[in-house]
Amino acid sequence: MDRPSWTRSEKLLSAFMYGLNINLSRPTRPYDKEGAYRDLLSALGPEKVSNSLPVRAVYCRNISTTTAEPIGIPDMVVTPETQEEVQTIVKVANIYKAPVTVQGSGTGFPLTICYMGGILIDTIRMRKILEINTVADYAVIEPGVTYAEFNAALREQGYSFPCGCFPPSTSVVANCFGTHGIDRTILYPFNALSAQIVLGNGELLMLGSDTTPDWTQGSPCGPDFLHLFKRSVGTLGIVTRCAVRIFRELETKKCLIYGFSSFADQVDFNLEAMRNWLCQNVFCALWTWPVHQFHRQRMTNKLPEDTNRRYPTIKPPEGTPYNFSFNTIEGFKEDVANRERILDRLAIRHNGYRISEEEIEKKWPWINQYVKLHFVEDYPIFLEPYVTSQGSNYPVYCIVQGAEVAKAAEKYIVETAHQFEKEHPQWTFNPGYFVLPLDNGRRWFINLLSWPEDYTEDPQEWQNMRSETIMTVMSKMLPDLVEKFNSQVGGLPLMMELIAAASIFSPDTHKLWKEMKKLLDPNDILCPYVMLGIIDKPEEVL
Amino acid sequence: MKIAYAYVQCCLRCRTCGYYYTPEEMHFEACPSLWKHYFAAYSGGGKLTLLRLIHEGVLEWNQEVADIVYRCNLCGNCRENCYSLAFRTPSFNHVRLMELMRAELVQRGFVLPEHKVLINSIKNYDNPWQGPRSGKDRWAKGLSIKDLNREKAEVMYYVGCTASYDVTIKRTGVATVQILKKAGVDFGILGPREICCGSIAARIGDRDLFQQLVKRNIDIFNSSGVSTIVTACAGCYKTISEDYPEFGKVKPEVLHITQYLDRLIQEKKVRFREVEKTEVTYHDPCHLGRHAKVFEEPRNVLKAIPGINLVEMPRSRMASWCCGAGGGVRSGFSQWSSETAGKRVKEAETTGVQYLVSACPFCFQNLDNAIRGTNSRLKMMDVVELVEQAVV
Repeated sequence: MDRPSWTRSEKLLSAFMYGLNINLSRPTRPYDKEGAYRDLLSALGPEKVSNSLPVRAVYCRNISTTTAEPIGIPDMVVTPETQEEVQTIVKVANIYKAPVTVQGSGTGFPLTICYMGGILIDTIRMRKILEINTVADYAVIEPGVTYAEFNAALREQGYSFPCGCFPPSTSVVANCFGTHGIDRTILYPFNALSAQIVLGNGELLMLGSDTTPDWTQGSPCGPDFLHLFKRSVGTLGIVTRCAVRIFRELETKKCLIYGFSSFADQVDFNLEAMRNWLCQNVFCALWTWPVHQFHRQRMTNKLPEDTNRRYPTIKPPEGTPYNFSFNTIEGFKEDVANRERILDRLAIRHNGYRISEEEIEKKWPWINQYVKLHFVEDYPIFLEPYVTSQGSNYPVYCIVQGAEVAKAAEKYIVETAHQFEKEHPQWTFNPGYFVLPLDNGRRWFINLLSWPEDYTEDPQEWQNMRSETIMTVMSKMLPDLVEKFNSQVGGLPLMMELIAAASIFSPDTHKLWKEMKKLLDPNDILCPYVMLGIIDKPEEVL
Repeated sequence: MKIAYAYVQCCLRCRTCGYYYTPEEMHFEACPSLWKHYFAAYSGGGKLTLLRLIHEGVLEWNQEVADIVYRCNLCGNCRENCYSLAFRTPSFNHVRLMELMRAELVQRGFVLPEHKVLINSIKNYDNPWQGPRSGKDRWAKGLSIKDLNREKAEVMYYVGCTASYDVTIKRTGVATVQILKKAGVDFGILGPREICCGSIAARIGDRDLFQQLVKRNIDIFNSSGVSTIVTACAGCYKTISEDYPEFGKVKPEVLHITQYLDRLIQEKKVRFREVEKTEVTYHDPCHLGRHAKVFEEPRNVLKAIPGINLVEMPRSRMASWCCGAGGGVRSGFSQWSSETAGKRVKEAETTGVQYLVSACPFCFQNLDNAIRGTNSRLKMMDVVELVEQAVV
């Protein structure tokens, strides 16, 4: 497959974008804002429409841009409650040619921001679970239903729905379509069975099994166009109702915790566990995390005695493994027991060891209380092996081609981080990694670093630590990664767009998408210039 | 504010602050403000984002911002559920930051007119309800209570402004006195010398007035010679026990009446007769529950009364839904405040009980109004009223 090639200057610019706060500015589109607001107000009422600056300015960021400058402020925010209201909004937008962007919970990356202003649709009122069918194993929901709400309702009937995003409590289920409010990973698009989608021209389109009189699992006769809309990231239509596959809760669920003496050992163990489908979910925690003061404070409601003690990442305290690995396995009792034995053996092979519940509870009680609760138990089943790690709040990401290169890059990152710590002993540098196999496992997505911003209660020290770390990384590590490992590096906002653009498009797909877009959204009101614009004119974006 | 800004950046905008959520216990729609207005700006995180945007120059302090910032009950749900660990610090959490924002708004003159009335009343009369100072102990007429200005006692009953002046609430004051007397407690009141605790000034954001009240109260408390201060008002309790230490030490031990009663019951100084079989549900006041973490004592007291059966509402303890009165909302946005209380009354009705019980005069007033407004079959009671009926 042909891919757009990235010039050296683009790579470097993407790397420096994060540190230098370069925004992704798009050309603005002039339209009659007053007229559009007036029409929406008369159609939906003042409770559901607002053009107050403080109300709309809050939507200028989402979770991907916590540290960046405000990117785009919508001209008005609308909170529709029904499918018909969404259609009304889109029709008004067509009259005035106003850009429309849809946000679910606002936790998505990063395309749910109104880069060009316009109308922002917040799906917060569309939170009805319309049907849970335990005969055919599907549920029909509105796009604003959160994973927590959905799973709470499913749990009552012995079912669950896999969650692949953060935070599991408030992210919306409809992000598994990626048709609006793209999630950071869109892990499970295949669980989306059917959808009702409001197109850019205001028409309602029924797709997948919804084209039959009843919501049923499986495709109807003839072509199923549902997949054309998946991952269209808001450019082709707005999901207003969808059916998703639901899963019976399995007989047994266990979380096994392993400790490793080195980063490399843990990586090898996790990779082997994943490749052999031995566990559903792996959560990795660097040893610095469990000793993190605020995690303890959160659980104990008081600061520990050693609050101000620094924990350099080079060497863990006596008796603490370098990395913890939380492996969740689910299935029939016998199956779980078998996989448990294999994982134990695998850990020994990679110089690790199984940590018993008792040992965890005694030595690191906050791990059991916090990590297990929120990041392991909390996440319903994962259908594919999935690895995540802590501390991805302020990361710089690195994408490299191939697992071997990824491993070498990881090694380089850790070594450089340790070198940095030696040079700057007053600050803690926390290299985590967030490995996500992109594009059938050929590309690796690494969380380069996260600096533990809440190690200190002194905001000034925190700011200094952050800027020092950024500048050190920017000036040394990132250019090295670009040159030595031919990687793309950068902060989240640009990075996610690069990933989306690079991994989805071939020139033919791009051409087809553009034609479809023209047909379905003649006035180009749905998320204009978000994805297609990047491919067309990257120089304008960058 | 600079320090606050550094913390505000840690908000992930994930909206978890709008929910109450743990894997074991999931309750949704936990923020009265977000689930009334539905725009992200009204959530706890949204309000902090406003502060960030002001710092960045995108917004400025104005009446529009004030309108959003004051549309908050300061119930503390956001603080308890926030995913961002930075907000777990005692000095910088959602509630503290929102109070800081309100202080800034007051300094810049963006106060709601309804709040101005309360502030002026405190300045002129030492209470927010425009009651004359001389009328502070009118509720206690004929009850023969020790006057701490002239006599010594072990315990001070700090009545609070609402129980002193509000005709419907003063019965909780009377009930408290009857219980303390039956338990043989050596107690007294300050009478006209009792001044507002400052809770309302602190929540509205008038920090100067609050500090003045704190200093005056600390002087009065510390020179009174009592060993314990007991109050039946959740707002007074939270303010004196949690907010005062920032400005000075209150020497006597400060207890909410439910904590004191629980202690008296354990020491067998309070005994109950069997009452007619009654089912009650307990509403956790935010100031007492989420803020001061007093969850068990009121329940212990209710459970100790023979014949009383306590049935919990779906949202209770840490997940409790605010009554809608706190944070200056009842005075500033009375209609919304009543709607919030109405939702709580509906929830209480689902338990099938006869009595909705609370331990805060603000909750009492607002829920009682909602009961009458919605023609509910429930009856509003304060914990002390139930205790008073059963105590021997």
